[in-house]
Amino acid sequence: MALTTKERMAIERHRMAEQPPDFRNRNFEEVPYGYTPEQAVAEAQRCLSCKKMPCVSGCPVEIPIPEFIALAAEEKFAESARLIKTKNVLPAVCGRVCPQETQCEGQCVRGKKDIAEAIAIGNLERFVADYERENDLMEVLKIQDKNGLKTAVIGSGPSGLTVAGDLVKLGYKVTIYEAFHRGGGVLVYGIPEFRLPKKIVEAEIGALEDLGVKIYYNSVIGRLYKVDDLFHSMGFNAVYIGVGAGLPIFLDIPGMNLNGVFSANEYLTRSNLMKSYLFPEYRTPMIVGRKVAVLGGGNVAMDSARTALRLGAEKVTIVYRRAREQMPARAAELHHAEEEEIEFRLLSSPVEIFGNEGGWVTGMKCQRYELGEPDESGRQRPVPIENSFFEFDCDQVIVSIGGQANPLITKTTPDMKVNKWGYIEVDPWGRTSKKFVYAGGDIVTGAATVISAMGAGRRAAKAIHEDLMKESDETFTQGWW
Amino acid sequence: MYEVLERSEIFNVHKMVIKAPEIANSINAGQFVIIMGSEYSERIPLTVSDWNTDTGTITLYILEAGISTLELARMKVGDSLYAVTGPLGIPSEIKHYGTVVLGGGCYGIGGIYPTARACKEAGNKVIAIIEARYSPMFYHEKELHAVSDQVLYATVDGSRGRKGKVEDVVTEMLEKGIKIDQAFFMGCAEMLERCSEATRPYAIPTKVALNSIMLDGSGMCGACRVSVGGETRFACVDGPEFDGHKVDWKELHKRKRAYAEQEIVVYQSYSHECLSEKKLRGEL
Amino acid sequence: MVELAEQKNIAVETMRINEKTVSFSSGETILEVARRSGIYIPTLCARADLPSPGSCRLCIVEVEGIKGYVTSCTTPAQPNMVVNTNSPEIERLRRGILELILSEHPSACLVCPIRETCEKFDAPSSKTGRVTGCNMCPNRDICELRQLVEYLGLEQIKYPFLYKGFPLERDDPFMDRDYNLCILCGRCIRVCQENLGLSAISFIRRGHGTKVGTSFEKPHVDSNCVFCMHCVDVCPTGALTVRGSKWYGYPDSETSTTCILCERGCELVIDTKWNKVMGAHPVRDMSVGEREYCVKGRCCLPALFNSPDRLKYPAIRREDSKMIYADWDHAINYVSDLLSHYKPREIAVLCSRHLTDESIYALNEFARVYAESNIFYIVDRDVIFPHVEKSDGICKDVKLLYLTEANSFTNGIQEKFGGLENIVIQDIYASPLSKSPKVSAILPTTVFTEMNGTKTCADNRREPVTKAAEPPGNAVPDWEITVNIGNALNNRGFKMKDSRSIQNHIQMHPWIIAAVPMVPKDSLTYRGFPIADFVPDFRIFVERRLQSKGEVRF
Repeated sequence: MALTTKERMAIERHRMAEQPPDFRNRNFEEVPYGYTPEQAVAEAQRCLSCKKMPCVSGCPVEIPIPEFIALAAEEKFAESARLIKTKNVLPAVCGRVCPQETQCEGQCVRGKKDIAEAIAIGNLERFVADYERENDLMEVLKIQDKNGLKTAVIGSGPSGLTVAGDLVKLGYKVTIYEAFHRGGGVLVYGIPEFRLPKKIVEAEIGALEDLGVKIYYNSVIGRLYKVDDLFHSMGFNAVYIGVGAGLPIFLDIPGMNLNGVFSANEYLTRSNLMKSYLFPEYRTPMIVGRKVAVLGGGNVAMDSARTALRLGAEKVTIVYRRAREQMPARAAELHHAEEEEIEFRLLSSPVEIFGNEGGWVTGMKCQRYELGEPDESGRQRPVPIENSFFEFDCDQVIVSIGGQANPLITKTTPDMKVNKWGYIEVDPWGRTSKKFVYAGGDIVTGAATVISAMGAGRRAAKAIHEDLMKESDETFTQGWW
Repeated sequence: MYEVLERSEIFNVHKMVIKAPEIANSINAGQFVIIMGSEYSERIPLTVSDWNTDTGTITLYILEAGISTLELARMKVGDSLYAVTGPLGIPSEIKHYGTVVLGGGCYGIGGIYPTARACKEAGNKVIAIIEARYSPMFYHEKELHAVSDQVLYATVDGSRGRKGKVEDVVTEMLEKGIKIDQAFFMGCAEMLERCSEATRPYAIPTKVALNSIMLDGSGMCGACRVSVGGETRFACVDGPEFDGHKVDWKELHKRKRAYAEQEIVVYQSYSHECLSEKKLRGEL
Repeated sequence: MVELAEQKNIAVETMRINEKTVSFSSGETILEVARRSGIYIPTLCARADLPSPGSCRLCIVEVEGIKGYVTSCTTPAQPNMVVNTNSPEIERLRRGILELILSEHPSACLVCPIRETCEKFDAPSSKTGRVTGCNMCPNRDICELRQLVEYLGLEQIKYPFLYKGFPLERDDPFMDRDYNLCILCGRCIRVCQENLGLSAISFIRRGHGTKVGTSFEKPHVDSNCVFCMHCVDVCPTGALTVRGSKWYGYPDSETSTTCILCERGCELVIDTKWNKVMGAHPVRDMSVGEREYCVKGRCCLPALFNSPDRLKYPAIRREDSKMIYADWDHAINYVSDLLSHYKPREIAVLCSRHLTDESIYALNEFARVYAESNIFYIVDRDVIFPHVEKSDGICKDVKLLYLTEANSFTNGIQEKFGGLENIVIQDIYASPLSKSPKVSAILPTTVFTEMNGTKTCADNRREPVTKAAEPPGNAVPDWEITVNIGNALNNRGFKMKDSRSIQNHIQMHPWIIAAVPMVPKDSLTYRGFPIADFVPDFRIFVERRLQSKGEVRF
């Protein structure tokens, strides 16, 4: 029963039911409960199926958004999920962690007036993917015959998994090297359970392993093997580097090495990968702060702040140098953080962290900032206000102000070009200056989003296939893309 | 995977030989591995004391000093470790120094062995100094003798060698005017500090292998950061060996005690789940 | 004592100890007289509450007219005896004796001149397996050897250290034993034999290899040891330790309360650290003869009460039949709303025997007012239904079950209650039943270490229950939930407000409490949950005992 445009326009955007803030801030279960099938259908019916499809142009991997929504509106949820998977191997993940408001939903015609009125593309993507997985409708994808070529993927994060998935379908023998004991990269160590349940990542990795991708855990490339070893002694034909950004940045202020000062990487890795929120069942310890200060305004800062709250902090304060509008965090995360009563001290930057005799954090001194002229990124540059210091008590500081490139691989691969910040230099298709070595994700761009890393992986997989096919002098198989 | 092939105990120091051919092939003196006994374990860094590329094994000496090491100490031949990541860290700098002194205590007695061997191979005169509370607590001596020109002992109760600790032997040597070109120390942070203080007045180049708290071991988290000469360095990727005269010991001691409380809480649930499970399997 | 002797018409005699005239009654030893008179004589083996074996020889004293030195713990006091407990010569001899004892104990740290510097550097740690020095010993703060070394001013041990080299005994449930620290004082053997009549342990082997062990060196779990831990409480060294608590070190606070795991209601001191139960021990100055406690209260509480399975937040069933967390106001309103939809006789309330008196009373009153006496109690898996109408053993009328011991109901609920529509669970742990689609609300409640109140125990003793630890999440005591629901229903005359008003009610209606069956001594459950499910060490103990002896003794 097709609806008219007017009828479609009349439906209001469906919000997912959520755990109430007072309860979710003490447990690690996912915050939104997800759509019910009825809600999903109703939400899908809001889509006007406009010809221009601006949403698709907003998507880094160009998911056929109107088509999958149309399938969802017909209650063909599994088919809808499979359609997404032709472009995006991790829809359940992206539905949860993509910044939709700046991507697909930001372009949606229905959101032109008010972004909150755009079609809830992310929620729908999440719903159909969950529906497929939870009802055991995942089908094993068809893969082409083995072509005898071997590719190594370093890092099992979003870009690595994308490359592995694309290549294994094309008949390559794919081996992933993962430094940790569990696969998923940032999806596992970085994004908390309450935002992305780990069983989803496990299911995706399990699906890849079913396709024949071999994953070696506990393998730190650069130490265990060098990239050259992978070619020469291990016999790989191509290597994809998707190791992520890696090194945390600490501020150059007094008190940075006090007990209770964490990098967000450490804090989140302890809580997520090592599951210290289940301490002491899982034995990696975590210091539970009472008054926690989080430095930074990105998604990672929000994740850290909300994790701290769930671990039992009484009060969590986010200290950010710029204004709220300039926070890079996803709108939903900001909204959730505010709902959970996390305090925001905007336009402030720490100048000193105080400690006690035992070396533990006791408080922080900050300086106020105001917004000045826009810088090259277009954001107004924060300027310190003289003599505008203030102090507050805290016993834990989580530093979430971004990262640097991890030099483990680049230092041991001297013939690969890096830029002045240590990130690997690549062409638009992910080719590095070293032959048959490709790179993508945060080790190329610096800290960015899951979906952009997946986009880079997708392009690199295409480049690898193209180059290796040229090299092995076989006909380039068409129509897979 | 990572099967335990050999086990023995020498006064709370547990020898463990593990099957890990890839690591045995690529490891160098001074590097370490990060180990998880089970899925529930912490990741802990442990110095590799020996390896054999033919059998594909690595040898660890583990001082039982907490929950994670307790778990390892209770492993038997045939058990498997959940994860062994490595080799990690920068290898010891080996060159022709002249006379090299290597000092080790507790797990460091085994830990200095690869560096001693490498120094010997590089043509140095190697003097190993090892300390323990009582004479029966020494181990790995035969191997150490084989790669050292001289092995000196120090015991707290005076039952073997000099009464005292490694730094007492070092000070005695220096006072006697024996020339030392390079010193390596390995052991608990307290011992490293005392040894560094002993060599400082004589400006002996001193390398200490730091064992700060680590999480990932690849530079990603910064848990292991130490201040060396006023700069923040990561022990896992910039170390583990640093100039002992430049390390901020006070900060290191404090950082190492960060999780003292939490570790105790975990013991309770550990004793329940693991010991009992083994007993249920009829291993009692 | 003298007064007591006079009352009992026992002859009172006098003697002199260190120039001080003291009186004694016949049968007392010199040591007993000296202790009573406030004169210190060092001992390692003797304890006032145990028979003295005279094995450590440290209590030697001079007695005029007797050649040499006698052990004061075995020499009976005689009229007009003149005793000297201290002289340079006695001190010298005692130092010699202590040196010999310490030559078989890892004692380098005991006499180490730089011990203080060392302790400043090496953070004390009782986390090691094999103890080779004081900084690793879990007993260091209450070590009697250390006190003696300080008392006698021992500075060095001239004998070579002889390490016994026994393997660590860490495979038994609940306790760790390291007989390399043992000084063979035999206190543990005596307490086991004389006070408990168990004789599970004795000296075994000979010479340097002498140690304490069970017959044929079987594991304790296969002997007749009941893991009461009296031996740990009397050990002067760190040889015997309770595994679950030793790493904690000193507790933040100690709270005296009553263990209500069974009818005995033993007095117990709960150690808490970081607001959690870390262990329990007997009242310290109680002599071993008076102490009564068993492994359940002594060792099981931390794992039992700190279990991750504890219910933390109230949950209610949403319209779309999903269980979601709610705050207490919502949950209370939801439950009272639910109750008001049923006729009184369609509601059955189940009362756990492990509830405190206040909770039992509140629940009874609640049931009487709303459910018109459809209350029943659990005796293990057999349910008594005093007032529920039954036909063929099926309670057809009951449509809503209000359970305070859900786990006793996991099986057979369909058979017993044909027309059941809703279940409200008020409990401490999640049970298999809580996954049932019939469950409409789950209300988390506290265990006895997390609430104040009273409990009637055997012989009609009313013992105090004192709050020692913080409950997990938002759990609140049972009586509070009941009272809140009762007040929310508001229209039928339920009048209780706080625990004090309940106390008054109890005093007026003691028969309500008396009607609740007591928990037998050998009960293996707490609120219907097998303790063994949460304390694996206990599971081993129980399973092994049932296997070998067919019963479990505490």
